[in-house]
Amino acid sequence: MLIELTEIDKSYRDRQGQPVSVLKQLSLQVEQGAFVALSGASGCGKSTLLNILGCLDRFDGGEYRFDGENVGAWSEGQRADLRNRRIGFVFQAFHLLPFLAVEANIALPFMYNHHGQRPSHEHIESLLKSVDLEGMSQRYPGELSGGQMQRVAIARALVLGADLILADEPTGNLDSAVAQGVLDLFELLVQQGKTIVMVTHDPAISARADRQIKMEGGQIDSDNRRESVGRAK
Amino acid sequence: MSAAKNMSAAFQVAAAMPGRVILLALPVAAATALALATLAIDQGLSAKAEQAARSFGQDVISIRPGARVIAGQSGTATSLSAEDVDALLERLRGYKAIEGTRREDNVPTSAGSKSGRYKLFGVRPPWADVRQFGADRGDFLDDDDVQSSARVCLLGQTPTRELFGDQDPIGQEVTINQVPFRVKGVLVTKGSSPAEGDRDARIVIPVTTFYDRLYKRVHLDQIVVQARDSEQATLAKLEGDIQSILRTERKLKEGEKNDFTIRLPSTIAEQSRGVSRNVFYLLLGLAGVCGLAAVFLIVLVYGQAVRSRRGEIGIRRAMGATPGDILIQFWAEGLVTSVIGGLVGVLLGIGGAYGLAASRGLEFGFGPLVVVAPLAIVVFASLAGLIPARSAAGLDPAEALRPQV
Repeated sequence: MLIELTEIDKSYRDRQGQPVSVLKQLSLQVEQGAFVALSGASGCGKSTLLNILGCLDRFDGGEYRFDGENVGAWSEGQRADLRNRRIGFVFQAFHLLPFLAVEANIALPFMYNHHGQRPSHEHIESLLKSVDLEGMSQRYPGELSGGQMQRVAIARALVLGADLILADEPTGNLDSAVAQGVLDLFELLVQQGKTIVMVTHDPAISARADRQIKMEGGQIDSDNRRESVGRAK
Repeated sequence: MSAAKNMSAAFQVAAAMPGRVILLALPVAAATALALATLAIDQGLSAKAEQAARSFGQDVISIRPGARVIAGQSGTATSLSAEDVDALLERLRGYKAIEGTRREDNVPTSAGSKSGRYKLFGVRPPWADVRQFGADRGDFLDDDDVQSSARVCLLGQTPTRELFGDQDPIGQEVTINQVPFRVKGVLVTKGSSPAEGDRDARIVIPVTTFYDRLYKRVHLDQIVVQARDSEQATLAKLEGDIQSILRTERKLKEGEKNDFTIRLPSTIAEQSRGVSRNVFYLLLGLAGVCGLAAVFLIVLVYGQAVRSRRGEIGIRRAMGATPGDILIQFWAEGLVTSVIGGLVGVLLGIGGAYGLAASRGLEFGFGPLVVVAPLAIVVFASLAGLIPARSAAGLDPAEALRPQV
C-alpha cells in the first residue's frame, strides 16, 4: 500500500481564533498504480487532504504511512526530502517560473535533491518527448499554451522519478480537448505504475479515474471503483 | 552545496530582473560612494591640516586683522599696524620674537619670457625662524636688506619651478609688479594646506621694500609672536597679554569686540578646516540617509516580492525546498543587490575622491574608517534582506500554493 491514512483529524483556527474542523477521522488507503479522483463541494477538505498527502501540511491527530513509513512523525527536512524524491505536484495555476526556460523549470527539483542526482539534457529531452513537447526545452513559459505549460509541470513532477503525483484541479485552466490530452497522459503514467491522486470539480474529468472518492464535511462520503480496470500495474 | 545551489537560484532571479537589481543597488552604491569619498578626502585633509599646524610652529601665535572669520583670510581689514608691533615689543613679556608681515596675493611676476602670479610677503629676517620658512638655497634676508629697502627676494618652490625650470635662479633677475628684483635664495618646500592652498607659491621680500617700492600700505596683514616654549600655559598667558595690550592700544571699551583675531597653534589645525568639517558632516549625514533609504527600499521591495512570489515559494517548497533553502535564496537575492551596489559604490567613491583630490590639489587618505564605513553600509543593506527572506521562509507552503483571490 502506498498511502495509508488512519483517522486523520485536521482543524484550522478562524479569524476569531476558534477551531474549525476540516478533516474528521478520515481514513484512506491508496495502492501503488491507482488513479484516484477526489471531488466534493468547496470547503469539504479535499485540498487539505491533498496537502497532507503531499506532506505540505501537518495534521492534528491520526496516522499517515507513506510506503509503510510513518511520515507524520518525520521532521520538516525528512518530509522535504520525501516530497523531492517521491512526490510530484501539478497545480491548476501550473506554477512555472516565468524567468526560466522549460528545461530549467523541469530541472528545478534537482536543486533541492541531496542524493547526488544531477539533471541531464538527455533525460529532460526524453521527458519532454513523453509529454509531447519535444524540442521545446529552450522556450519560456510565456511562449507556451496552457496545455503545454501543464505538460511542462507534469514533466517537472516526474523528473526525479516520483511514485505519487498529486494534482490539484490540473485541468481547471484548460479547455476540454486539452484537458483530455492531460488525462490521457495521466492514464499513461498510471499504466507505467505511477499513482495519481487528483482533485477535481468536474464529473467528466473524475470519470476518467479508476476510483472516485467524494468528500463531504471533512469525511469520505462515497468511494467508487471502476469495475473494468485492465491496466498493467 | 545546498547553499551554493540556493545562491545560484538567487542569481537566476537577479539576472531575470536587472531593473530591480539596479533600482535597489543604486542607493547602496550612492551611500557607499559618498561615505568612502567623504572619509577618504576628510582623512587626507586632516593629515594635511595637522601637517600645516606642525609646520606653522608649535610655539607661534598668529594675530590677524579683523574679527574672527572662518576661512582664515580676513579680507580688507586694516586693523593691524606697525604701532601694534612696537607696542607688543615694548610691553609683552615672555616672547622669543615678534614679526609683522605684509602680504599681497596674485602679484604679477616674470623672469625672461615666463610669468606667473604669486603671494608676496614683506617680512623681517626673524620671519625665517618664527615661521620655519628659511632659505633652502642661497641666503635669507638680512638687516641690511631691510635698512636699505633692497630689491632682493626669495622665491618659493613654485615660482622657482615655473619661472626658471631647471636653471638656478640665484643671482637672476625677476620683475615683481613691474619692479626688478634680484633673487637671493630659494625658500624651503612647504607643500599645500587646506586653508592656504599651495604654500610654495610665494615670494618673500623685505617689509620695507614692500612699503617703499611696491605698495604704500600702512597696515600689516599678520603679526606672529614666537613664544619661548610651546607649553600650553605659556601660550595661554601670552594670548591674554597680547589681547590686553592690543585692546589698550585701540582703547576698546568693556564689551566691545576685538578687531583682531588671535590664533594659537592648537587651534590652527581645527580652524584651518572649520568649514570643511561641517561640509563633511553634512556629506556623511547624506551617506547615512542614502544607506537608510537603501535598507528601507530593500525591505520594502523584497517584502513586496515575497508577497507577489508566493506561488514560487510554494512550488519550491513542494519540490523539496526547506524553509532554510528559501531563507538563503531570498536573502542571497538581497545580498547580490547589496554587494553589486557596494562594489559600484567603492569604484565610484575611489574615482570621486581621486578626481576631487586631483582637481583641488588635495590628498586622500585610507584609514580604517574609510574601509569600515562603506563595508558597514553594505553589511547593513545585506542584513536588511534577512527581514523579507525570513517572512518568505516562514510562509506555509499549503497557504502559499492556495490560488490567490
